[in-house]
Amino acid sequence: MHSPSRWIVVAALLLATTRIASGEPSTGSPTTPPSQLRHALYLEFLGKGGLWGLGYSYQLRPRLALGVVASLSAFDRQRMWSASPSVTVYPLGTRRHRAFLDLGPQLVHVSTPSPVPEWMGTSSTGIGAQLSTGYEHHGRVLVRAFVMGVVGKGGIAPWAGADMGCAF
Amino acid sequence: MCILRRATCAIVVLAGCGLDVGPPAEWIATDSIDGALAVETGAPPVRPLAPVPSGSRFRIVTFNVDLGGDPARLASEILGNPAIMAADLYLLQEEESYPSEGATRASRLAALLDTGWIYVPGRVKGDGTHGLAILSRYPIGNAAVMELPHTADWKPRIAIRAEITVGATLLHVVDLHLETRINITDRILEVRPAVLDLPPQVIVAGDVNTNPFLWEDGSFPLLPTAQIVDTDQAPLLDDYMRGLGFETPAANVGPTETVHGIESRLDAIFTRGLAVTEAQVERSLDVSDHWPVWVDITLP
Repeated sequence: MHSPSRWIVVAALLLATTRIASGEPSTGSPTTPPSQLRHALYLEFLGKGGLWGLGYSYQLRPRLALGVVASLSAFDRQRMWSASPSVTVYPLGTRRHRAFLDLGPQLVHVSTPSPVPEWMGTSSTGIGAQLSTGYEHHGRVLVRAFVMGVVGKGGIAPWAGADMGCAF
Repeated sequence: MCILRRATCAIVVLAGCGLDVGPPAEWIATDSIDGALAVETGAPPVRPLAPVPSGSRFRIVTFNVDLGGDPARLASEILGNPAIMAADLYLLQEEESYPSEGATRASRLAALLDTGWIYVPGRVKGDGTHGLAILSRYPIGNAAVMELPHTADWKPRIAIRAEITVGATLLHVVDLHLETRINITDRILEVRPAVLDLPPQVIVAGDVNTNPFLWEDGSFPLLPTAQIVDTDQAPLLDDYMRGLGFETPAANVGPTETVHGIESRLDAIFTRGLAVTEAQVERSLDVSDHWPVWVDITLP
């Protein structure tokens, strides 16, 4: 029962962003997104949450943003919470199409409740860091695709992700 | 409760599927099985066995032999490693048998190692079978097989139980092979029926596939998560078995497989009611994707 519920959420978000994009404004300078669209809310696939996440970002300056991605995922009986605040810089790009670099810590907690009476279960918490880079389209609709590297006490691993959401 | 929290809870609940704690699986005597999954056995060579007094060393090896397709080469590798060659009991996983090969791979290996043997198929594979084997320098008796719990997505997995007669001692052993891409809670549920009601003195060993990852629906591992938080399944399965009174002598032997630079302790030996003196991994053998693990016990 994993896939159907997730795809329902994806479809709903696609529908919402499409309806918002139909009234996309045309203000803003050539090198920055429309100035009133400082906030963005988006769904992240894979990425900082591992499997998925809900993200928010705030465009602090034309080439600087702050954001956070949070997620809660279930794997059989195990639960994983994660929170990934980050700073994003935009070294290259035009008004709507930009390359970005994103850096920040990651806090992850995994809870493993016992499935049997003879074992107590356990939990684990860790902190790491991620660096990601990719492409962003920033209008009323926000779309990102990126690759990332994650580092922690267990080592380094590559990953990737994509975002889809809306700016307002 | 706001709509967002309600929706999140619904998604979490819907996603929290896994193996249920169903009715306990049963041990079935191997001599009662016929058809494609009929068990094959061979006695140890008839020869005077040296007395095995109480307090003697007894070595058990667990080894996933990666289908055992070349028994001659496998035997050569085993005989070329003094520690593995000196074993008294081999608990093997991923053995196979095909009629076109003339004789069961386990029987050919046993002939080269000069041991008795039992091959227990777990499932049909092509025109042959795939299963577990026990090779022993001492008589194997009272063997039974249990089909372990699994969902429709998993391959059927089995555990085999046997009694090894070593002089005046009757050693109870269990050989098993668990599913690969599952999380620890399902792994515990899978192994549970095979280990829950065993005799007080027993050895459980095999390929338990305790990998370092959280798995998304059995499809892919969460690589980044494993770098940040400890998701290694091996210590958790050890912890579960210790709760059942088992010792975990192989807990610190290190990885038993390395693939694409990822090290995993996939194989384990658990003992209960027996004195363990040493445990090691032998990484010089290059005949399987796994390395064999051995443990020495002192015969009661």
